[in-house]
Amino acid sequence: MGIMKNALRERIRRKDIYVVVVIGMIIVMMCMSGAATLSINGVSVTEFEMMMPLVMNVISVLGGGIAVALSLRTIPNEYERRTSHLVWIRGISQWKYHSQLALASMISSLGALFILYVGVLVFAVMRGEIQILLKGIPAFFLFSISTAAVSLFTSAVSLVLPGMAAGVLCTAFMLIGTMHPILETVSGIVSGVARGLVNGVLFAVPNLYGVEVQAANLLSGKTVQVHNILGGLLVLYVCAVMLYVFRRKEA
Amino acid sequence: MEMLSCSHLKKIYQKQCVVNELSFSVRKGEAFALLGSNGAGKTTTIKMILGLIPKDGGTVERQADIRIGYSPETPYFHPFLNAREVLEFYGGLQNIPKKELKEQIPMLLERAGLEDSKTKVKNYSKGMLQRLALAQALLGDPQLLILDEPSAGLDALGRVEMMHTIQSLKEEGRTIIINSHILNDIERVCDRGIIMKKGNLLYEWEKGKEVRSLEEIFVDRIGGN
Repeated sequence: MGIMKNALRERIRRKDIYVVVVIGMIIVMMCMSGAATLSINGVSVTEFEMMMPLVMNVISVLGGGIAVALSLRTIPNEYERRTSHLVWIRGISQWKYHSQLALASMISSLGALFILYVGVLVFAVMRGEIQILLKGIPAFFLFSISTAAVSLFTSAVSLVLPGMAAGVLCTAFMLIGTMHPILETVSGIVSGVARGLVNGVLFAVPNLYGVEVQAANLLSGKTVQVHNILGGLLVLYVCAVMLYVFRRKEA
Repeated sequence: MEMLSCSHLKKIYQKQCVVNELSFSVRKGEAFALLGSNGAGKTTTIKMILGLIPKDGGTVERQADIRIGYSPETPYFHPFLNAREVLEFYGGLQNIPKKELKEQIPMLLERAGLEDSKTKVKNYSKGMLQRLALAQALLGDPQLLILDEPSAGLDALGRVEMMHTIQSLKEEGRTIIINSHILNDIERVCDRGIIMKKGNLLYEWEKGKEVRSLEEIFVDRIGGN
């Protein structure tokens, strides 16, 4: 676990993540305080139960963005700086090396997500929704599945694609995954080639929204759909397999 | 007794052959030099020996279960660590028991002249980085040391000290492969070596075999082709 610990130490020293987290927290607070208005079809959302899935989605997009930013350069940096040479010659397998770096990226992404999430919990308690605290931790585990998947996917893709291409692909994966319902609506509106294209994208990118909304359901006392959670775990597994399969030819 | 043997090594980059049918062997306990101007294929050869890049042909055979230490040409360490932490990190990757590592690290730091291990690596000079690179290469008491340009970027005194250290490592019975183009240093420390040009073996040098100095041979071979 030495590689992971070392990568985490480096992450903690990077100041940019704190800035992103502070900005994210301000946005979440604005969404929940009424300083900014959330609305669906022109009707403002004020009910806590309705607000929760929307705010969770906002946090999820922010968390996904942070996950892409943190995971995109972690492995390529090791190879560019050639720190990899001194790791490879010690007989460390690529899978062990890459998985520990990816784990470090994932943990730091989830750490940032947790900070945003705590902001929501604090605000919920301020609104008198104290019962939310009991469900807060299990809900976070559900909620973190999609961010973990984005982070793992980004780490895996960064092994085989150059920086810019990997960044675009992973951002698209994260945005489409966390905004699946919006694209489903678009698919219902458009027709012809456009519809085929949107459906193709919806088929290729897993529905990350599906799993994160279960966290909101748990928090607001609604029924949790297990198949969505299993789907999220399957995505995590596939991303881990990608990380195992994708290899570097040179250190 | 051969410690390492390379046979018909070949590497092609973008249709250009950078190492071509290179064969040589290194005997146990000797210091062996890879010589040549920039672009001769020395570092590529070292990387193939270490398995850092795939070969396009040939074989590398080495004695079973030998421990290898490697000091890269441009050493890079995580800048937020200090020398002790760097050695702990790489020692941990080698699965050296903690107790053993605790004993080894102060000795290695002393040998590398980096006793002030609290300074972060980001504040290190090029010479200090080279010395730290040598210290990490010595973790786990390797029998074979591969040093890629160990005196690159060092001042005159640093170079002398580095060569003294390499000499003492050789006297301890370690086998050493050095890639360098500082011929005086090589002549002083090494027993044998090869001169390469554009990936090809030009000449096999052995100390005391010729009256001419290594520098004269090198200029003759490199300049003459």
